Order: sequence, then structure tokens, then C-alpha cells
Amino acid sequence: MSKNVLEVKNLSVSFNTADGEVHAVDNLSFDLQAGEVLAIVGESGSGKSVTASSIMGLLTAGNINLRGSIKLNEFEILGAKESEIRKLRGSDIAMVFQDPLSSLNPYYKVGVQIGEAYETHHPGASKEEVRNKVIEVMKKVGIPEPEKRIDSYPHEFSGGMRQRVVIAIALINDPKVLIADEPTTALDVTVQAQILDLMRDLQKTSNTSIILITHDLGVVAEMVDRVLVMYAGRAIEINEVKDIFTSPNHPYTKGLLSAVRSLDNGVREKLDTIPGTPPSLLNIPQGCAFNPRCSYQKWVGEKCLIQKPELISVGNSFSACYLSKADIDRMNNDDKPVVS
Amino acid sequence: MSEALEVKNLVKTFPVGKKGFFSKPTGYVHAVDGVSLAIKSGETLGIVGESGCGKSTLGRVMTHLLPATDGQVLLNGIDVTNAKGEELQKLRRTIQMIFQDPYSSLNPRHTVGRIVGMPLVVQNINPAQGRKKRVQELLELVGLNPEHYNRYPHEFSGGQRQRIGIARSLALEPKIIIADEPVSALDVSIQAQILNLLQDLQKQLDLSYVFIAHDLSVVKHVSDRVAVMYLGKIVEEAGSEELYSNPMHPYTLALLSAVPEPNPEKVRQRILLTGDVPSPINPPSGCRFRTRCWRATELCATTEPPLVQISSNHKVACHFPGPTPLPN
Repeated sequence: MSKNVLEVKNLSVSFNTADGEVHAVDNLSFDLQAGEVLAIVGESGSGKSVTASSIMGLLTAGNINLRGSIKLNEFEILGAKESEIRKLRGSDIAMVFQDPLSSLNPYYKVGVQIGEAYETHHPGASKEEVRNKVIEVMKKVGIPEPEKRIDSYPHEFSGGMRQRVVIAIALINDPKVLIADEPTTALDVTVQAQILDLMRDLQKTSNTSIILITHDLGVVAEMVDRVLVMYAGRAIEINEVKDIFTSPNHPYTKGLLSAVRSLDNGVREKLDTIPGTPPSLLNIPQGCAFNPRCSYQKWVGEKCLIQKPELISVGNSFSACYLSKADIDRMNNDDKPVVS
Repeated sequence: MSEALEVKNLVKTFPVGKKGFFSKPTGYVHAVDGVSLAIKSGETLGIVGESGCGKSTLGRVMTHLLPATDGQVLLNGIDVTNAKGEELQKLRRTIQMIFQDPYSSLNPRHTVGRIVGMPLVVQNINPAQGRKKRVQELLELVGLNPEHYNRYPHEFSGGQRQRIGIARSLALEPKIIIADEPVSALDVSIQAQILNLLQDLQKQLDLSYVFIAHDLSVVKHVSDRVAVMYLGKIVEEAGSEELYSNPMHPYTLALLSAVPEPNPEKVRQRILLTGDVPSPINPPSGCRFRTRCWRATELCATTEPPLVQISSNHKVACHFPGPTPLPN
């Protein structure tokens, strides 16, 4: 086993709002090994982006309650001074955001924006050194003619090229952990394929650990090692990517997988759906948060409605569900409880 | 089956670079450039392409939300390209639209009842059972609780809002619905629900759909026929089975290979297109795809390939069509 670069333990995040306390993340624990690509998958409101923001130390406003521990190379991020987190942010840990248009400043040349990340962490660097470094990283992320493009403004770039600029900013200090929050959602399919290819290459050559936040299971299958599935702020399954697609442990994962469209499906074929909608985080159902939408609850009984299932190990993976191993196998053989 | 909606050589350009009121524009964005398509009644036509290919503009010209620059729009064989006033109002009863973003397409200050009932008010239709009853029927039809008549859009989730948008588009009992990326703003599990709902409604109400999307895997689930667009032109059009099993245009091949496959075991050869879509203000000469195409030759730069029928159910616009060669 390689070393963990990031350890998240019992992380809980809630926001005090006028409508009440919103529990965005609830008792989340996971770790990230050196050189590993971990996907955090879930629907909107499942807590994926809040998890990312807390790892980056971005949640500091007064109405936020943070509990638990986030350790980056043994350094505790929760409760650390802002000045200390600043040293890590952009050097040891970096983030790529969803929308490349709104994450770049339209008034500054891209070279300045990429260079800023380097200068901040190398205060003594000469102008020439910064410029050379910027050109080098632009080359690395596949921006053609970096010597010319370094003086362009963001609006002169296409969506895919802008996302490459954002990735260049994240990578210029060789971070140990890169968090990519829906990096391809705003891009066209052919451009998405280019960016995923780039991220895969960069990961192989630099040995950076990546947390990929996404709702697209197709993207997950193509580039990650392990998958963490979130629902209503909790981890409900952690599994190897090769297993999660063939034998998921949790009914929600199973449901998500069958709702995914594939080119293998027939023309005009109907999709399986998960009934209902994800719960409001103001009012999370008692017991297992998924129980109102779950068709396998019959096999377990009352327990689902009363007590939250903990994340426990099932073979090599983890699942937060009361289904027994035998019942999980039945589920994966497309056996379903009879609806009365 | 008769042709419910047909467009012939449709052109839509937008002027750009006008400096003052009296100055002439410096150029035109050729959003839709000579598109001919026909939708039979009860059929779903999928239109696929990347952003900026003109698919949404095409949808808007079809619904008369934008006037056509040139060409014809035929409804049941009657030319309605320049419909105005009363004629246009009548036309709206036949063609309706579902929009992409269920957040910005519903007025946050109106109740659901008012939103869904608005088409009846505008068209001055008074159903025998009363407007309220009719709206409640519509809500039930799309899987919403009719008792939510007096609620506001913010009280609903994204998927439910899209159902409200669908109910509104059905209020006038249209025959044709243009759906512009109806599921791309929704979560995966909700996308599947909406796609299934659209299919059920089609069967129940005998609707024709024009389904606009950027994702070939979504289109596969709803379409009888698919047209692939690139820079304002149709590059390939075929029956769904035919298009997915026997794609001919290099752009279609690339689009298909770029769809992420939810199966880690399956390794597919991916065609990586270099570069981005060129500007529609100044499209490349000859074939518009040639700047990103691995099969491009001299011929492609000088002569534009016409959309030709290669079998009864398949049209393609390429000088070198076929499943091979693939790029190295």
C-alpha cells in the first residue's frame, strides 16, 4: 500500500440558514493515496462540491459549522490559520473548477494569471523565470504556440483552451493533490474527450493524486481507480472502479448505473429510473436517506426507516446499506422484491 | 405517414460588427446555412451537434421564434415561412417548444397554474371544463400533483420544473414539439425519468418531436431518425439504427467515439479531433469539417460535398464517406 496523501475523517459540514440548518456533508471519511485518481460521484446537492471546498480550506464564513479532520500530508487543514492554508493552496493542493469562463479574470492576460500562481509561491522569482515557467506549463497542457498565446486574453480562447489554461494554473506548482470539480461538464463532447485525455497523461507523468468530482459515470469509467458515491451528504459506497460497474453494493449505485445512457443500448430503448427526487438537505429522511426511493427496502425491513446505516466493509469495498451479501448478489442478478 | 413539418434550404444569418445605427454590418454569422429536413407525424427527429453548430437556431426558426433569412418552413405542406398575426397565432397551437433550462424558462413570480394556463389565456381558449380543470389535467399527465396548482416554481426540483415546462408546451394540444436540450440541465437519474415521460406522452398524444441535443447517447434513446449538424449544415442524416450501426461521416464517427462509455472493461478506439469548431462568421472553404478531418484532401478545400442519398435511409455529405479509414 502506498502512502496516503490526504485523509478525511468524520467530516461534517452544515450551514445555518434562515430556513434552518442544512447538513451538506455528514460524517464523511475517506483517504487518497499517492498517484491515485478517486472519483466522487453524486447528484446535485449530494455534498461533493462542499467536500472539495472544505479540503481546499475555502469554507470560512461565520454561518458554517465544520467538524472532523482533513489531513494533507499530516497537516491538519480544519482549524489551521488562513496564512498557513494559503501556503498550501496552489502549491500542494490545487483545484480546477467547472466553468472555465467564470474562473478566469477577463481583464488579465492568461500569462499573467498562470504566472501569478507561480509568483505567489516563489516570491523571489525573476520575470524571465516566471515567463519561462508559464510557457513550459502551457506547452504541457497542450496550448499551441505558447510564446504567442501567453499574451492573449481569456476571450480569445475557446472553451476547451480556457479549461487548459485553468489546468495550467493548477499544475504550475506541481501539486500533490489536484481537485477537479466537474472539469468537463461545460465542454462539448469532442473537447471533453481531449481534456480527459490530457488529464490522464498529466496524471501518469507527474504522479499527482486527483480527486475527480463528477455526476457522469461514463467519465468515471474512463479515468479513475476508485469511486466514492455520495447521497444526501453521506458516503454510501466506496469501491474499485472495475467492481462498481459490474457488482455495485448499494441500491443507489445500482440505480445510477442503470440510469446511465450508453451507446450499447438499443434505439428508443427505455431507461430504468430511480423514482422520486433526491431529498432536501433541510429535511433528510429518518434512517437511510435513500429509503423513500429504494426498491430493496423490503428485503431488510423496518431498520432502514429507523437507523442510518454506517459505512461498513463488504469484501474489498465499503457500503452503507443493511442488505446482506446474499441480497446484494440477488440485486445484481436483477432480482427485485415483489411490489405489492 | 405524411410530412408534418418540413424545412427547405433554410438559412439564418445574424449580422455582426455593426458600429452604429446606420452603419453596415462587417460580417454575418451563418448559423443555419441551407438546411432541408422533414419530420413525419408521430416521428422523433434527433438533431445532434456541438455548441455553435446552429442546432438551437434551427429549432427556433422552426417554431417561428426567429424569422428565417431565406428558405421555407412548411407545415402540413403549407408554406408558413412568413406567417404573421392571426396565422402565426394559429400556428403556435400546432408547434410548441420545451426549453433547456427549467430555471430560467419559468417565471418565478407566477404560480404553476398561471404558467401552465398561460397558453390558453393568450390563445383565448376556454375549455368546456374550465381552464383550472384543464391545467390540473395537464399537471397530472406529466406526473405532477394537481394540487400543486397554486405553488411557485422555486418550490419544485429541477426535474419537476422541467415537467411544468412540458405541461405548458402541451396545453394547446400541439402536434409538433421542439425540445431544445430538454434534459442536459438535469441530474442523471432525473434525465432518465424525463426521457421516459417524453416517450410515453408521444405514444399517448401522437406527437412529433424534434429533439435537439449535443449528446448522441441521449438522442439514441428517443429518436427514429438522427441528423448530425456541423457549422450550420447537415453532414449526415439517417434512421437511428442505421446511423449508430453504420456511421459514414468522419465527424459522426468522432462524435460517437467521444461519448464516454460507462464500462471500464471496454476499451474503445477514440478518435481525438484536434482543435475546435471554426468560426461560423468565416467558415472554411469547401467542406467545413476539413480543418479537423483526417481524410481531408485538396478536393475538400475546393469543392463542398453535397448531402447525397447513399441508401434509402441514409444521406451523407462527404467526399470520402465510410466507416474507415480512421486516424492513426
